[in-house]
Amino acid sequence: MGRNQWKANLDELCRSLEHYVSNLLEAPSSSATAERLSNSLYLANSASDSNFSAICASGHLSSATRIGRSAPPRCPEAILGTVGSVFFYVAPFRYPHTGCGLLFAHTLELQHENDGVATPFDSGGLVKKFDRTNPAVSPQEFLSHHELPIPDHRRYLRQSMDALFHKPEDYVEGLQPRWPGPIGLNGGDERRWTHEVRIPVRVPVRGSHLQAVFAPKARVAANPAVEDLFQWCATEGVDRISFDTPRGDDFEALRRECRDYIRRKLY
Amino acid sequence: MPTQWNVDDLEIVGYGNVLNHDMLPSVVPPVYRLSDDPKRALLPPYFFNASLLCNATEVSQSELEILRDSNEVTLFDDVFAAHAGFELWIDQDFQRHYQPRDEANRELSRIAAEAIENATEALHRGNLEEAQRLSGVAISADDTKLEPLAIKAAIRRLQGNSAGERLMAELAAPVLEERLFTLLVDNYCRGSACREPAEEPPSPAPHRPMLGVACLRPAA
Repeated sequence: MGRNQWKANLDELCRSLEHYVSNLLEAPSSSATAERLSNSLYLANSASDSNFSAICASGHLSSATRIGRSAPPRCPEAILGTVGSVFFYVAPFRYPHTGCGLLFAHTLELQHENDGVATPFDSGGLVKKFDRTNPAVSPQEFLSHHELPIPDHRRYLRQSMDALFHKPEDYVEGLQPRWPGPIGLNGGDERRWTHEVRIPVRVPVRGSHLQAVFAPKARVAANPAVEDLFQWCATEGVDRISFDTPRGDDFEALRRECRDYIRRKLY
Repeated sequence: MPTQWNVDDLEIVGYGNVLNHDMLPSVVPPVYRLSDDPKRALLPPYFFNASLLCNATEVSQSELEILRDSNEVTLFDDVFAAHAGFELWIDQDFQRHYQPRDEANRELSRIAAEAIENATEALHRGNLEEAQRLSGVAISADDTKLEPLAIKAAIRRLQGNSAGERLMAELAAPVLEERLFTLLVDNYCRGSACREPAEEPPSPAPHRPMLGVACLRPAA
């Protein structure tokens, strides 16, 4: 499946949203906030401390296939055939049990418009986390019907921010939408409506698209590879966010710092 | 499905992180499982309300194994009972400790203080590699301490790495202004057996012996 099919999926999804909205009592209006946020939201990738150290040392975000990690047959990426991809959320960091992360500018999508793809949900959640309203459709089929071109998928993001959420910022804050929307997923957490971007094979870290790097203070000070990346970022004018992690609760701290950063930069 | 569990009804099977040697010692968030239903595991992020674990993500045993294989969580070879108000931490030998929070904090503070003392001595002996390792131990044990950052900054200065020195000042900035941090670093550098990098050599201008000597007016 290629870009033409993804474009057809996007048109169909936008039509479904328009139809869905026409049945709501309160017709949404398009807002400048949704326009701004959907166009500029960063691509987020977070990792455990050990994986992040390896990312800093290698200089790349790599797919499981690329780093030679065999995916167990039951894992969502193996079931969906996405093990060859690097994953991003178009949102703050939302992947739990991670403590460090990278934000990339939306321009990364322009560089991958021919080989990257998006979905208006976390694809991995299709396997066990979310309920499909039509369970007769397999996760693989469901995924292929909802693959969207990048960066064009942001058109649906903008429309859904206005139509489904109380206000566009709620998408970023991880607050439940007022309306579930036309996609047909229930359950799980905020990843159910978080746009995901997949880029094949690997993405260089030290490039012009890197927007900000996040790590606990102790990791920056104690891990040479992380320290080295932070030094590079200082030289290149890339934002660096280091933070304390009381009681080892790295993910909560990471998520909070990222949301604060996005509020400062994009609200 | 409940969204909160009594900690006394849980066991610990691992923790929600994967650490390298240079990240130890470290407090880690436990991965729990239900004592009476071991196939149900509970992952961070979560929070505690008195003795209740709230808002954890429930996963199956097989999902847990996938996360372990993806280098996202660490699982122990055995399991042990969870207790409210206890802290799980991993020492420099990858040994786990599970003890009341106050006790764990005291132990980690002691490790940090000892590592700072030993890092200082190593720095004074000129053993920068050992000083760097020990300052890493200290900051990992207690990330509120400033001394490990100052020692690390001193090491970077002695190595002539001004970007590295500035980065440490940046990490300390939320609690100590740069001027005071520099004084602290100066102090560590003064005590070091190593000397600061030599000043830049003079530019290789052609040597002129009379340069700077006033011209004498020839005798009339």
